[in-house]
Amino acid sequence: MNRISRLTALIGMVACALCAFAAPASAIPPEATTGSATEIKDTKATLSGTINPQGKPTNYRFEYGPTTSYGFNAPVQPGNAGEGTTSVSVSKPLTGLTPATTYHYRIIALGEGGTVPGLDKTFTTAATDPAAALGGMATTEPFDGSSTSLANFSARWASLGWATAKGEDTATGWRASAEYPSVSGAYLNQTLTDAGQGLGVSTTMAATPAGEGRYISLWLDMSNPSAASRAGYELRLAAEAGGNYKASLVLWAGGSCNHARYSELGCAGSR
Amino acid sequence: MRAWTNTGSGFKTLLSVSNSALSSGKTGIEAAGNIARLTKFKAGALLTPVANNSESLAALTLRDAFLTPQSPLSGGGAWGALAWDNSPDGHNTGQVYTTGWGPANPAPTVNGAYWQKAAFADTGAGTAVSAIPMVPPGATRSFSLWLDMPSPGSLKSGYEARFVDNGSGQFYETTISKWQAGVKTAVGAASILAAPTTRFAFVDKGSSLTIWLAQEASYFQVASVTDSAFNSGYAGIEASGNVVRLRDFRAGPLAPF
Repeated sequence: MNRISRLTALIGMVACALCAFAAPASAIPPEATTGSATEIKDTKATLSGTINPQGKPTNYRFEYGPTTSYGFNAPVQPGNAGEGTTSVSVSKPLTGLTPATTYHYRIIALGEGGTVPGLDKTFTTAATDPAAALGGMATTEPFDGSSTSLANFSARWASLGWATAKGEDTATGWRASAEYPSVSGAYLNQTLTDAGQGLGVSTTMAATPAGEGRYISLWLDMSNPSAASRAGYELRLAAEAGGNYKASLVLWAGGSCNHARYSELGCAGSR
Repeated sequence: MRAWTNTGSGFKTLLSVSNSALSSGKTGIEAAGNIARLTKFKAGALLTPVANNSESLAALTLRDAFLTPQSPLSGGGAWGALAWDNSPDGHNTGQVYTTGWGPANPAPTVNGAYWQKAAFADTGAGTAVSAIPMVPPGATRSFSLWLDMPSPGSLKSGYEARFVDNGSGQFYETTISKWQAGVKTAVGAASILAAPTTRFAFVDKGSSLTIWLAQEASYFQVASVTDSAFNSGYAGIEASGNVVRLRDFRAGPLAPF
């Protein structure tokens, strides 16, 4: 053990001696310490850290990404940590993050004495609150019979392939074109893709589908809604005897109902 | 999959079921019986509402920082070549240098790419694309931001915001154009001043096409035109001249406010 210790000490001394020749005292590398991630939301967070420039002009940046390969920088142009001899605190807000995702991050010091990374740390973005997102969604189509609404309904909406009519945009809202049991339906001619945040669709039921067997439905993820067979996710609210409503979530494929879940709902005028 | 209801005190879960069979498609409404009335139809990505335009643009999802050198640009299949990319040596989509994305070929060859993992639709809050020119294109050279391209791998259609450098690296002659099957219609032009490393953003919201600039988190509008030929499609980048370098490509639906 003693021999090993002496040998280690000797190597250490030699290494230090070489260092003294190779790197002048003025080129002491900066110090970088990765700090915490704070103010973590679904698409943003703030990273912090400390940099000791060791007396030489030093810049910094944060690297972050889904793995320790990182892939993203903040700021895009490195920030200035000065040229002092004590540690300075720096922070940078990140935006455009993906919800419910774990990110690796570290601070990097870029000084005359070298590029020095801090330790890797992680944080996880919050999941988007769907209730808040649904509540804040912009109106796609007002369905109020206004000239704008009528023009949009004419240009951007088409009849569902299994419906007998597209329905009508009136001053009191969209409605089916004919009496029960005729089915009316329309789809918005825009493909929506879930690119990480999830998709939603909502409408305000200004008048309920009164009468047993009557229903209204919202559709999502229809690949070919002009076809004669239903395909996609349907949320159906069907009137029952006694003024209650039955809600069902259904996956349709090729006109067949593959999966269903039902619940009783007794609220009129709901969205 | 979750169904929600809101009777005036916020959205509450009504039904919940696990199913991941579908993740893309069209939205719609259906009814049996002509008593029910539906108003305020809303559809789109589930994004947390924000306070203003700047926050909405700042929240735009970062798709590719263009940090990792790659020739040609692929991003693991996330990027596809624009149909009008006329690289003579297979560098369609351009390439990522250590300093950012740029064309591989000198002008007048055009290199360009689109983010093909998802198309984006303006369902009320708008869609946008943005990037930062870390190195300006050089005199008479340009870079472009594209939105609402229906089929960019086969057809030159959609909206283009083209920024032509006057040689200063800060003044850009800007043109917003509508392309329909290779036929170009200029819908607006502006001269803009942008300090180095300014972020450029191109937005389609309703019938308005706007250009925004930002140094940090605060955006300001520098151009606005009206057109409604397109309201969904792919986003992308294009450049002529292999000097320009773009970083930090962001694209997607905008958060509502």
